[in-house]
Amino acid sequence: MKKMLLRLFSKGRKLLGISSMALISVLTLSPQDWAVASNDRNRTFEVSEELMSTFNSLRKDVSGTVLDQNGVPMPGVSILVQGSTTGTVTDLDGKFTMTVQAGASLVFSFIGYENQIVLVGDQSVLTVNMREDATALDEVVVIGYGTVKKSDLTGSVGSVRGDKLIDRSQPNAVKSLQGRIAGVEVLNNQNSPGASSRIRIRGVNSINSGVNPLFVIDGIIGADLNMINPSDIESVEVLKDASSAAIYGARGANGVIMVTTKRGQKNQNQVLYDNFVSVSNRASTVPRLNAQEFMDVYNTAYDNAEKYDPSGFAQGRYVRANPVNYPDLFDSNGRPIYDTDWEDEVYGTAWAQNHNIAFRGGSNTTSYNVSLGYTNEDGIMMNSGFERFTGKIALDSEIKPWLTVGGSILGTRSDRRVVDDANGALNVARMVAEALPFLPVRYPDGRWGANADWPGTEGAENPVRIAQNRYTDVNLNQMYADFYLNFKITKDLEFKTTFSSIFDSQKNNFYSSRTLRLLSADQRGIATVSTNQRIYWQNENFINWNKSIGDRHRINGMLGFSWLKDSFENLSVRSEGFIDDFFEWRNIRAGNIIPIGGINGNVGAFALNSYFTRWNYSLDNKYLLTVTGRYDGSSRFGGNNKFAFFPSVGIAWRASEEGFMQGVDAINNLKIRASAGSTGNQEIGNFNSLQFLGTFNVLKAAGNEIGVSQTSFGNPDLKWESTDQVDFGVEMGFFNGRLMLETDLYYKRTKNLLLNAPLPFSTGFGSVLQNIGSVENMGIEVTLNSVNIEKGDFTWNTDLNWSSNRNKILQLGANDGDIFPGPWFLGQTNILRVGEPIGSIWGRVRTGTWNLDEAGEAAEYRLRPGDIRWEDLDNNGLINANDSKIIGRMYPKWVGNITNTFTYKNFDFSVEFRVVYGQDVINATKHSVEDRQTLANSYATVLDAWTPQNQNSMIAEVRAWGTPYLTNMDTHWVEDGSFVRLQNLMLGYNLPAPILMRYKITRARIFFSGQNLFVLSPYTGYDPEVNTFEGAGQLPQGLDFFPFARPRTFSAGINLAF
Amino acid sequence: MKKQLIYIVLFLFSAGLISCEGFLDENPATLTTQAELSSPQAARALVTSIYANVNVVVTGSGGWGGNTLSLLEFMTGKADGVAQTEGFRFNQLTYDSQSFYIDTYWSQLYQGILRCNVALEQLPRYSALNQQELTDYLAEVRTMRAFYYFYLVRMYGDVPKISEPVKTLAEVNSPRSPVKEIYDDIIIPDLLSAESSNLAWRRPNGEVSKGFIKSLLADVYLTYAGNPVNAGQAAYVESAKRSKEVVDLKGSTFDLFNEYTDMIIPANKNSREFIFQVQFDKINRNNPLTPVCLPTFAGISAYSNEFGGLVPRFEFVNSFDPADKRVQEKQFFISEYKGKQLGGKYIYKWFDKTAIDQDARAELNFTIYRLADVMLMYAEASNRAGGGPNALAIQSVNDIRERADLAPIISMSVDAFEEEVWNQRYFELCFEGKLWFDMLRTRKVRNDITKVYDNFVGHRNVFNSTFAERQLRFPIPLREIDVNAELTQNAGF
Repeated sequence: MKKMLLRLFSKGRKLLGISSMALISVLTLSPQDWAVASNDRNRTFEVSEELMSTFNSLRKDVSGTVLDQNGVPMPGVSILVQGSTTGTVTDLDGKFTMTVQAGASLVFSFIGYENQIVLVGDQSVLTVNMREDATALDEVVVIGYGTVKKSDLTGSVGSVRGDKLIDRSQPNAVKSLQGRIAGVEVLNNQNSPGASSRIRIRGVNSINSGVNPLFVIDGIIGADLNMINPSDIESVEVLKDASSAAIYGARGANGVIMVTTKRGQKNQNQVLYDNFVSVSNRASTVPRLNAQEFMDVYNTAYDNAEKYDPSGFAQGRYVRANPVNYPDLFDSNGRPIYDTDWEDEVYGTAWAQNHNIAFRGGSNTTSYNVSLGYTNEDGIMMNSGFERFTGKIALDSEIKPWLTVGGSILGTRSDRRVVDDANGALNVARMVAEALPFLPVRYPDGRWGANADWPGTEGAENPVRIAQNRYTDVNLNQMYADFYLNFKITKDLEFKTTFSSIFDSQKNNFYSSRTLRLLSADQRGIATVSTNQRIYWQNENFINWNKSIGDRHRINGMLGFSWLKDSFENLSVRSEGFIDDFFEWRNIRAGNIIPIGGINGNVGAFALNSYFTRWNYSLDNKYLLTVTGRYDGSSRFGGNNKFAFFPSVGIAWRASEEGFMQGVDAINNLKIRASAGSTGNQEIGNFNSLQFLGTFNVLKAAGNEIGVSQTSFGNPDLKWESTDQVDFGVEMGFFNGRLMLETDLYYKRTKNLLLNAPLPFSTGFGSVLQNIGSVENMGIEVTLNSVNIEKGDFTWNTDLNWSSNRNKILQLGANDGDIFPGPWFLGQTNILRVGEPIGSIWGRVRTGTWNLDEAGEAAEYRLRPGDIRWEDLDNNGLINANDSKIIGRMYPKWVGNITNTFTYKNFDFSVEFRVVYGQDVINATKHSVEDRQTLANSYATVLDAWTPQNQNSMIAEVRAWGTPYLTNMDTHWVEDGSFVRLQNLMLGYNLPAPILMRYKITRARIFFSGQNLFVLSPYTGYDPEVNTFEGAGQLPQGLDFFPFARPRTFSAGINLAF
Repeated sequence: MKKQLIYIVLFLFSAGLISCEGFLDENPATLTTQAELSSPQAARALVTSIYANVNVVVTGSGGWGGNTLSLLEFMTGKADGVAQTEGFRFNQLTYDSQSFYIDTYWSQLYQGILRCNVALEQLPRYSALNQQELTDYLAEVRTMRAFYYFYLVRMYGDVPKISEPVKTLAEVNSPRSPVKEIYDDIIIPDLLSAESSNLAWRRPNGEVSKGFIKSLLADVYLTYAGNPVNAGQAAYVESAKRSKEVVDLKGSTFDLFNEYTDMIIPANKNSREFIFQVQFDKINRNNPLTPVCLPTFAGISAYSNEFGGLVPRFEFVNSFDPADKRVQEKQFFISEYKGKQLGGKYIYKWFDKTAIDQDARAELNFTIYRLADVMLMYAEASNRAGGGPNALAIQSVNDIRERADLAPIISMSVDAFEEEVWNQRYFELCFEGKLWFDMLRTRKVRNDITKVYDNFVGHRNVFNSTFAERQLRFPIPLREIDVNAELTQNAGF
């Protein structure tokens, strides 16, 4: 260490500040070190004195001008003395002056331009020409096990730079990916802070095996992007077609998302600080009855009770409550005292802050990155929130000319408080709609208002009380560590070996108070503590061979193999019967009831062993060929089918390089590419191929005993599911790159579909995983980038991406029989049927209500005027399960995103819209808030229910609960979920060079932005981008049963670089 | 240095290309294959597994407030529930092959059968068991298999006959076997075999006992004698023979409780009158019927949910002899609690007072056989077997009547006595999952309004719906028909 310092010192490359730090570090060495170091110490002083004089004598002033490639002066270019933190920036005229010592090199850098390193030497006036960085054409793209120039790609790879991701002021990198890449659909269904999103690339390929893409973060396969700090991300690449994804063969069927995190750059030391503060509010409202309206509906409903249930009425089942008997709630005239807006009570203004600081840089041989991030985000639903700390250290060192080693450690700690759990039950979100409007949050004496205070209701608690007495703390610690060794064997041949691991530990602490009726009062409090640990390692080894033969041929070959193992252990304990709410989950034994079913533990693991190769061949830089093959073995499959081979081939023709195109000035890039190949899917859970005996608890009079029996049917023939895909793409650049267009057409067919095929229950089993089924997806993706105006200080860019996917089930199980994958909501919600897309909505056809003059016809169905009228599809005089059909689609017909960016001088302004067309959303909330009038509060829509005077209504006549009523999945619940969203609006300002120079800042930017500023949609719920059934399987989308309302967010932040 | 490194690297690289033996083998430590178990406790666990599905008859199912028991009660027309239980479909006879509860019974019963078949196949492999243990274990397993099949044939008619675990995908589809074949090949041989075991007459842990085997066999033969098999006189004789063995133990191993309300005292579970029950306790599994049978949101209990999911029809309750103690307040029914009128009569048979007043954890068992039931089986079977009621038969009916504060009967004609026995079954065993099966096997339905027995086909229930042939068997669940191409649907569905 000391020697190194001295060496640096004597070479005169360090500035005074650093050298005195070195002195201090020498002086503060421990006494033992003193003795040993004394010689060095003397030399240090000698050297430094000698140096000081030399130093002073060799200082010189340098000035100059920085020009762009058109010779125009460039303001704001940062200039650093190589290997130091000293620097300056150019002024408005592109000029700079600074003092350096002889022999110094200056590094000129500017975003979007290549760094220029200039040795000062004897010069005192410099003219530096900056060159635009690799235009989009020459952008380097990360693919598996290597990088490639975008121009050399034969496959379809979408790419986003990290700085685009942080534009959204969104701590979740997955959410920030939404709308960035054509064909990559991010579904932000959950709005509670810290919640994850779903990603679907080019449609849904599978039914029972996973449909999530594979994440590869810095080479670590199967990492979780939701946990990565967006500020640490350098770039995200999505491998969409088979030619590019096949290198991850066995796991590439749903597409691959490659994330590269930031590393230090050699000889460019930087300190970066980014932050933002944001404030969010509920973006929309769903109208419910107010206190007086509720009482009106209540009375009408009881008036109608006799009509709908005469015998029950005769028995005295329908006795309405008299407000006068409830003086807490009504005045002496029977008028409600309170009129609570539960939406406003539960949702409020939420603040978030986000800070990131990064130190990046390096010497000639070693580079480093140290970054820290902190996020603290409150949810708009009271008491919800998310806090996260992230840290990253990366080091890369070329320790020998032929040997580079490096590694990184990335750590995350997050705490998330969830108060909107228990979807489907009477949870916070649901009680916002269902709590009675004439209840107070608390009575003057401190008692909580509850629906139970009014007779004949379901009696649930008010949402404020639930939010304050029930929560889950989700605590997650994650560490990604990787180490690599890059060995340059010859000029053309490189060997790389990596060892990476993931350590995840999650602990969820849940408590629900003793007093919450219909949630945990019957159990006298419920606490659940659960832990899950995941340990993963992978080892990958590959050789890269780059060879140019003559001027015409370039060959790149890669050959490698890998091992990985992923294992988990989990344990959870639930206890009930708490003596007091004081203890919560922290003292789980303060609950005296621990049912045997409340103790669960599980362990599991899977392993993969793979061999892979890729060959790229380029002829004249015009004709490109890529051949990829991967041979994968997975522990999850049957003994004879563990291994499978996934090949792909891609070709491309860069027509614009041909001689005949040289004369066409308008077109400066034209590439036509095609690829075909196969990728696999193994995401089926462990141990599916064998017939096993499992244990379970059986209750006897003396308590539980262990039972053992066969618990899995097992399918020893289980094999890989595979997806064959062809892709055809055209990339075009016009007018010197001002207009760029990329279009892809693809067709995918998944075969040997891993289907949980139903078994006859007579076997004792419901289903077994089998390779029977087939699904196809075809689609088109268009990406357009245009510089509309570029005039003086003003530019206007438009970026557009548009994609459309069509999905169809081709084969399903042995008999092609329909499958209802659930979830079940008063009937099946969706169906899998051959010839129809995955995500087809299933239900009845509501044509309205029976009118008075149709009384006779209604009576045939045992109904009355005022009842819901459904179409009798099979005309058998009965409305039952056979009267359902496909009534909607969960996935959209097309999706588009358009961003317009305007820059003027130091200002930039961008506006981004997202358009989703042709998707349906099931508004299942209508069951509980439109069809059950006296049981809870209702939507304001019931004011328009059927009456003899208002017979043209979709909503049945209001009636006291307990009378027969019909409520079922039908066309009235299915709504058009198409929407246009103003996704993001941003105004930024880069501080001008003179100010930056004064404070020695390289870059400073202030921005203001707004997210989800408005949505245009016919949908009547909070937001059409919704799904509250995320736990009910991977296929459902757009199933809305009381979501966490979507926020509208305004942010302001600053980005600084020193 | 570099050269050596190259050699080392190349060596490691090529070594890595050779796959490591066993790296991809799955080795689950939470599951096991059959061959890995050998202890006597493991053998016992195989037997224990057969009890896991007994609660199929009282399992939450269908919509809010639904329970599998309700299916059998809704069908009789003597009960209804709230709209979300879809009781109206069964009251109005508009149910179909996708209606609630029907698939729950089917899948749960066959899962129970699978577990029995696995145990029957595996147990002989356990050398740690002595011959007597093995015989007794097999008797338990066979009895439960018969029990599960007995429900299947009564509910669905002809059903697939699965007598050993299905192992391969090629064998998963089985056609339906005639009802009589299921009785002759499985139910009756299983029970006859179990009858010869050394199991005790009463086993307090709630397991298969000789008392249960005899009661089940008596019920099986009585049903076999009736519809649809109509096995006739001989079956009545066999039935009476088994029920008499149980009735003969009245006063020793078994006895009637003095009070009906003794049956809702948790301390009496598995004792005295109770022969075989579904087990519940406070911690691990509570009786779901307790809140299901409470009036909807009446606010009388510690339960957050008072469902009103299974409610007696007033026409049925009114058809009791007003002097009958069973219809008096808080015997079998309740209409008032703690001063609050409930707006009708509700079932009091699972009114677990501690649960209702304090902790919402009902621990009362659900009874599958109790002595009163077997006594009435004896009275009915011996009446038919002997061409008239014998003294023990009359005594049995009178013991039941006496507890209900009804005057004793004297000797009657065969038919009149049979109707009296049926009456007692209606009043004594109402809402215990018995009446529907009685209706099916006798093809007679007591009309609550006229108080006479109608023929099953043509009987008009209080919801103005008329029983037809199709009501004699539940439809095979649609999903099962879709999956198993060998199946045919019952007529009318």
